[in-house]
Order: sequence, then C-alpha cells, then structure tokens
Amino acid sequence: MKNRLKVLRAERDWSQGDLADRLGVSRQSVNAIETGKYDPSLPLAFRIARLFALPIEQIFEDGNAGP
Amino acid sequence: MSGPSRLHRNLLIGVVCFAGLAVAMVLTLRIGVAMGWSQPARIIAGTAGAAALVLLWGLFAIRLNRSMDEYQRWREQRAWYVGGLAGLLLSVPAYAFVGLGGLHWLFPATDAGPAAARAFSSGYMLALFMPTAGAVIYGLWTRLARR
Repeated sequence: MKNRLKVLRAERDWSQGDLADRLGVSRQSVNAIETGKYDPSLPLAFRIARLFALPIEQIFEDGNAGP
Repeated sequence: MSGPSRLHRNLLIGVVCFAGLAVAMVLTLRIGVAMGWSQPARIIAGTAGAAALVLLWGLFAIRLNRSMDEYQRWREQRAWYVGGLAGLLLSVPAYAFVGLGGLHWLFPATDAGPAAARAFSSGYMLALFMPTAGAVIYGLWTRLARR
C-alpha cells in the first residue's frame, strides 16, 4: 500500500525519530511504513491520520482500488 | 522510557538473568558431581534447572513482546515462522543423513551404534514434534477461541 507519510513528515520538517515519538512507535516502524514494507494496523493508521489532521484516504492509497 | 529503550532494557535484563541462571546451574551440577551426587539426583537437578531457565525465558519473552510495537511484533512473528519453518525443513535431510549412519561413514572413529542411533532419533523427534504440536495446538485454540 502506497502512502504519503514521508512527504507529510518532510513538510513538517520532522525526522523519522520525531514522528515515531509522536506516534509512540519505534523509528524502524516509521521507516517500514514509509518504504511500504509494512502496512500499519487500523488503530495506528487512525493515529497517523489524527496526527496529520487528515482523512486516512489522503495518507494511504489503496493500490487495489477499482475505478 | 520510550518503546525501543524499554525493549532494549528488557532484552538486556533477560539475557543477563538467563546467562546467570545457566552458569549457576552448571556450577551446581559440577559441585554436585564433586560431592558425589547419584545419577538420579544429577538428572533431577539438571531437569529442574532447565525448567527454571525455560520459565525465566518465557516470562521475559512475554515482557519483550509487550515492549514491542506492532511492526516489531509482526517482524518477530514472521522471522520465527519463516526462519523456524525453513530450519525445520532443512533439518529433515540432515536427520536422514545422520540417522542412516552418515557421521559414522564420514568419521569411522565415531561411536555410532544402534543405541546411539536410537538416542539421536528420540532427541530429533522431540525437537521436531514439540514445536509442531505447539503450533497445531495454538492454531486450534485461536480458531476455537474466536468463535
């Protein structure tokens, strides 16, 4: 699943560690989500959405979604 | 304390305690041998020590699991599943080779009579059977528990 986490983080000038601290996860987790190695759970996706004050679908893109 | 720091601290405590208990167990057995303990006493002491080690590691495994975030937990489970399954599958030809006398063939001086072959087979089957049985039981339990 693609996501805009890296862009959103860069816009706020946060490091991966800063974002990890704000989300209460490890830096490796942020890196794994940004690089698409790991899809976060729904609770974590909601936390990310709340942190950036955006709807989930504006952060995560479902690559399998039809027209 | 943040998640990763807590994880590292718990991991360090677990390894140090496990190593300490293992050394204590070995020293106890050596002292026992020097004091002339009987074989049943050594077997019981050794088995009890191993059980204590496993109990300690189990407790720390729970602590470690609780210290992890969801990605670390997912990575750990995947590593155990993929790595453990690969190791288990690779052990089968190795078992066949050793069980059929491969070591004795390579190193004729090795004592590899029928008794040694039976002991090897028992040990291998225990190590093969326990994780497989554990995985099956856990799988059944989670299926039934979700109904």
